[in-house]
Amino acid sequence: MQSTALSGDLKRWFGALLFWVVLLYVIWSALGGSDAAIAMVFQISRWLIPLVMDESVQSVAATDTGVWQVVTTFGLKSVSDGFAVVPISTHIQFRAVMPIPLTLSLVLSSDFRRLDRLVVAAAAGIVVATLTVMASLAGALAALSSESSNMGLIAPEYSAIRHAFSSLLTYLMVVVSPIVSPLLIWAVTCRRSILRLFPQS
Amino acid sequence: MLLGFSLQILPWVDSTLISPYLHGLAQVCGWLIDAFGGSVRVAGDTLWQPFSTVGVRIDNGCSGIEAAILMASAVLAFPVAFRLKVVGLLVGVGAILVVNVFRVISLFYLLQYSQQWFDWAHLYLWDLLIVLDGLLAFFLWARWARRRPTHAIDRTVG
Repeated sequence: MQSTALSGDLKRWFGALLFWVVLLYVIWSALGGSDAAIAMVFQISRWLIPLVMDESVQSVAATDTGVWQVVTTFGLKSVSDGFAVVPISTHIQFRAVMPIPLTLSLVLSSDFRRLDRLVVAAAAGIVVATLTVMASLAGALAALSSESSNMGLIAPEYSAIRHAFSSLLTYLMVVVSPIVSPLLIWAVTCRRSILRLFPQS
Repeated sequence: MLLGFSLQILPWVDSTLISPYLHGLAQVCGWLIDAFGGSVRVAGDTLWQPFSTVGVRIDNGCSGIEAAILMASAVLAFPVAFRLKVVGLLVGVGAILVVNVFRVISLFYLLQYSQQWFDWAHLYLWDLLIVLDGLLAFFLWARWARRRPTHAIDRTVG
């Protein structure tokens, strides 16, 4: 009976993965990788969010505390020319960029000489992080819309389907994506290397 | 995978399956802490430090369910016989849930020691360990299953 223990390619790969995970997380922490990634996501978001969500969002700005402020199109009944502002917390920003070092570790563990894959994976990580922030915002806007009368807001009424979709999207991107996205990006960029980890029939 | 995640957030599923699981997980963690000489007060899905208002609440993202759904999806999609997939589900999902118990217990103790270390472990370390654990369990099972004589016919890959 052939051994099913950790052997051959799998051992080498897992050893490489552990090496890159430790190295990248140390470098990421030491060089402020989270701050740099969040800054990149912010530059993309401040342009993209008002463009894509123009019916609900006017602008995105950063504050001194690191919290992003999203000025919506939801008017305030009590203040003329006033609009509701939705914060995007530093926790959400951090959670959005958190999977990037693991993503890069997985790609490097497959073949550290393929820098093109690394660049693609890093770019994909930033895109996913931006989508995470947008999904979080979409969920917050849906919640505001449903509570608009209680909160004195003039906001469009979202349909039940849109509410459900916003809730699902927020859950998938904020809770699930940090675990799933590194594996998906790795699978897309390093498919052949991953297949070599399985024994041939 | 999408089906599993979509079902998970349904109110009926949350109240009937998820909440009881979270309560049970808290009970198991509390029992283990007690068994090894620690002090804890379990209330619902929260582990409380005794005589304190500080506690650890087990919520979505820290329950291990998302990783378990991902593992189950990978096992079910892998081209081997169904009975081998059942083994994969038990081993893979079990590996994740067991490690998750250690996550909850470690976070409970870290919170008593240092908020900074708790945040680092909560946000960085344990998600990483859960993923590594799941990856290792999946690949070990997949290699074992592929070597079994009853595995499904291989699909040609480009």
